[in-house]
This record gives sequence, C-alpha cells and structure tokens, in this order.
Amino acid sequence: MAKKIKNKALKPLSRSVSIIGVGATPYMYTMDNPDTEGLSDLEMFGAAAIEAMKDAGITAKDVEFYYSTCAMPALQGGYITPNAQYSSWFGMKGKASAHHSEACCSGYIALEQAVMAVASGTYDIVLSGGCDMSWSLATPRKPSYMRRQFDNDLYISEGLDKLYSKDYAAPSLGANPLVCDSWLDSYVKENKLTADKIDDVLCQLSIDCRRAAALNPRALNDKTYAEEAAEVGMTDQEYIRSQYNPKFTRYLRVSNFELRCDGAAALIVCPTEMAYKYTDHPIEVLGTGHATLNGMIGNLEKYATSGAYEQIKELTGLTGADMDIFYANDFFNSSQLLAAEECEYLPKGEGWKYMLESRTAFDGDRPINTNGGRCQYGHAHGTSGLHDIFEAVKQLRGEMGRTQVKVDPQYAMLRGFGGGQNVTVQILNKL
Amino acid sequence: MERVERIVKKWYEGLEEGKLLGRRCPECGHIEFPPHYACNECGHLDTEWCEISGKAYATCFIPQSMMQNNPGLTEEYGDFMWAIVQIEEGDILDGMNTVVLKVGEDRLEELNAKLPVPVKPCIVQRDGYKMLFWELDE
Repeated sequence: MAKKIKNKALKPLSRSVSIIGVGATPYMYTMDNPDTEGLSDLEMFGAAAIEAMKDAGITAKDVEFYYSTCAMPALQGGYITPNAQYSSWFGMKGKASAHHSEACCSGYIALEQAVMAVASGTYDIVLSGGCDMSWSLATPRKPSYMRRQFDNDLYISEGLDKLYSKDYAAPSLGANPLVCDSWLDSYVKENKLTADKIDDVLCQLSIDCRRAAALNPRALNDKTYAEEAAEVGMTDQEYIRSQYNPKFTRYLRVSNFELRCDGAAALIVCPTEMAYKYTDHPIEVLGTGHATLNGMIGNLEKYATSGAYEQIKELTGLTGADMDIFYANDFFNSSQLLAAEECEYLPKGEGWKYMLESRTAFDGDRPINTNGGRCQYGHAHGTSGLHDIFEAVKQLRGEMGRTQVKVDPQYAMLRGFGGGQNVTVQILNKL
Repeated sequence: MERVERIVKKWYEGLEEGKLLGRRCPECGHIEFPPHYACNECGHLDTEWCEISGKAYATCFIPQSMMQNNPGLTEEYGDFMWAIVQIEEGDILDGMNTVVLKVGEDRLEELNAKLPVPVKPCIVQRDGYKMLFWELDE
C-alpha cells in the first residue's frame, strides 16, 4: 500500500501578492539560426526582464530585489553566480538579488520565491526571471557569444545524470526510463488500457498541442502535424504513428518528449493592494503547494504531485475541478494526463477519454497546456515554468489572440515538476 | 556537538560483506533503507543500525530505452530491466528506482501479470565498489 506525502498545512500569505508584468523571449535554437546565432544568456535574460517591466509599466528603478534561475547554470552559462552576471543588463547593478536552481521546476519556484519576498513585507516590487540555453551552451573560457551544441550524449551524462543522488542510487546510471514511464505504466494497468489505446491518446495529445504551438509566435514549432504530414503525402493521424515519429520508450514516441531549446522569461510581482496602480488586470497568486522527492524514489512524480496538490487545496478551498485552465510541466506529455487527474482537473480514470476527444486542446472545454507544452512549444528547462506562467497570465487577461481559450477563465492551476526533485502546484486568480 | 558519522561508507562496507544495512528509528520502529541519519516517518532525529532481510518485491518493470545512461551494465551483466523495488521492511514511500539484472524485455508481459514479483539482492562489483542491484527470486 503506497504511502502519501502529508506535509504541514500552508499558512495564508501575510499580504496578498499579484503578478503585474510578464515577459518571455520566443523559444529557439539560437545557434542554428543566423538571426539569433551568438545570443547569450545575458542578453536573453535581459530582454525578458525588460519586457516584463514594460508590461508592468515600471522601470528598473522600481524593482527592489530580483531572483534569477537556470536549471544548469555552470554548464549553460558558465556561471555559478548568474544573478551577479545578469544584473547590469537590465538596470539592477548593485541591487539585492539571488539565484536558485531546481532543474525543470525552477520557473515555478521563481514565482513562489518572489511571492514570499513580497508577502513578507520586506519588498514591494520583485522581479523573478530565468534563462536556460538548453541547446546552445557557453564555451568554457570564451566570450559569451561563442556557443557550442548541447548534444544528447552530453545532455544525458552531464544533465540528466545530475538529477540523481550519489549516495545509494546507481552512480552514473540514473533512472530516466522509470521517471518517464512508471506512473503511466501504473495508469495503463489501473484503467485496463491497451498499449495501442494509450498510444492513440498520446498521439492525439501531440496533434492538439502542436496545433496550439503552431499558432503561438513564441513556440519552436510553426507547423501543425497536418501540414508536416502533407509534405510527405500523409494525414496527421498516419504521420504521427509512422517512421517519422518512432517510439523510444515503452510508451513514448518522439512527439511525446520534450524539445530542448534556448529561452528566457520573467515576471513582476507586487502587493495586490498596490497592483492597480500599475495595471487594470492584476493576477493574484493564491499560493504554492510544494513537495520534494529525489530521483531514487519510485513514482516520485505521482507522490509529490499529490502532496503539493493537497496543500494548495487545503489552503485555498479550491480543487482542480474549480479551475478553468491547467498547466503541467510535461517533458513527457503523459504528465498532462496524469497530473490533471491527480489534481482533480479531470475526473479519475476518465482523462484519457478527454484527450482522445481533444477536449483538453486550447479550444476544448477543459484546456491544458494552451501553449503546446514542453513537447510542442519547447523546453528551455529552468524557464519553462515562467513560460507557462506567462501563458497563464495572458490567458487570464484574455490576450492570447488565436490561441485564447474558449472558456472565460477565472482560475489557472500550474503543476510544476523537475526531473527528480521539486513538484509545485500553484493557483492564479484573475482579479 | 553531534558526531558526524559515515553512513554511506558503512553501507558500502556492508555490501562488501554481503549485508544490507538500514537504520531503525527507536521512536516509531520505521526502517530507513537505504540508511539516513533521521527518521523520515516520524521526524525523530536519531536512528540505529540494523540489518535488512533482503526480501523484496518488484512492483513495476520498465524496459531499457534510449533515455538511459548505461555505462557498461549490459556488457558486464547482460539483460536487465528498470524496476521499482520495495523491501519487505518498507521504506521511501512504496519503493525505489533500481535495476533488476538477468532478465530481458521478452519476459515483461509474463512478469507484469504476476506483480508484485519477488526479487532478491544481487550485489555486483563496479569500478572500485560494490553495488546493490536485484534479480528475480524464482
């Protein structure tokens, strides 16, 4: 019988905090494109931070503290103190700052930390941002514009392997296949699904997420699967099951897995009581449920999601069923299904049907990952949470244009997840 | 002042002698396996050494895939599958991510039909240290 994580109840924030500005660069392969080749993390972070400040209607003089985040700063940027290196790029020279790093959960914790800094009463305006150059690494002992390819071998040996503890976990082995497939494996068994049926679900999810990404100017992908398939004389349903999209784990195809890339994003928070001075549409942060397990623990994503969700549910009195949009950090897209059910956004055991019927697409009645998610929008690891928050804020404001959800959203829930560690569940509320 | 005890090293020394060591909480009886200083069940700050029976069950098998780092494991030990293994004494929620050696994907369906599947420790020599893996107990 599986145990549950039961952390202490969260206390309410000492004062309400709202997001008043967001900014995000497009996701891209900077070094592969002549228009972006040579961009560094310094410029990317700076651009996202400046966009967030402009969105909030403030200048750098108004920001009192800032956080930076990156999943692998020493490898990607060549720094162990990125906050100190970034500060001069957006007018923060000399101001207090800190860096944090929690792998792919970093971007969600960026929000949690900023909110707590304001809720404590110490600061009124805090910027929190991140940059990950997950495609174009810094070159050791060379200027920042000189980048090198972050290839798959290096990613597995120097990236993913560093998610696993070095006390008792098999050194240099990691457990990536288990982290990717084990929760889905138990879901398939519990719901008596065949391998073909869950493949159908994940394929349809890929098609729907790609449809959203193709309409989003910040996404890596700009073509739908239907358009890609037409180029080789196929339908999208044929193409997604063809040699162009092979399986590479027990359940996952290439389209079900993250697209590593480069990107940055930032947000600005302030006390809600001050927010209307800067914006007509503040987005209140109701809290962050948070649980952490290391990569040695079986089904860690399930247990930590449950623990984090129970906290935010108890704090707010709101459930996933009350939400209008759901985001799940999905470096394998089955996380959308599993996390949405665990957080009660979709009914237990029924989520796969919603996905098969495209009800979780951006234009469906229970939208999930309206930007396309990690597998179709892209994944610059430590920043993806901030990109999801960017997307959620824009959706709640009604500013997403062609990918604006059809429901009138009041609440958004975000389930953050890092490869073998932090899991968060956050709720945003449109004021 | 607390004495800083070498827990990890002693655990590996136990493997050299064919022993699986854990730490028992004197307050609630919970077993920390693998061992840690404090009890993750009740939060008590002291635990005591104990020996683990080695009886365990695999609750999930996942075949090898491109997503793994596998330095020499297949070459040295042949077929294996990734597995979640829970020891009889229980710990870290309901199991740990690990490896079951000497079994290939060709047995996946058969093993899935019999979950949980008994496994036993398989202590193997790695580069300068012993490592705990598991094998089917059949």
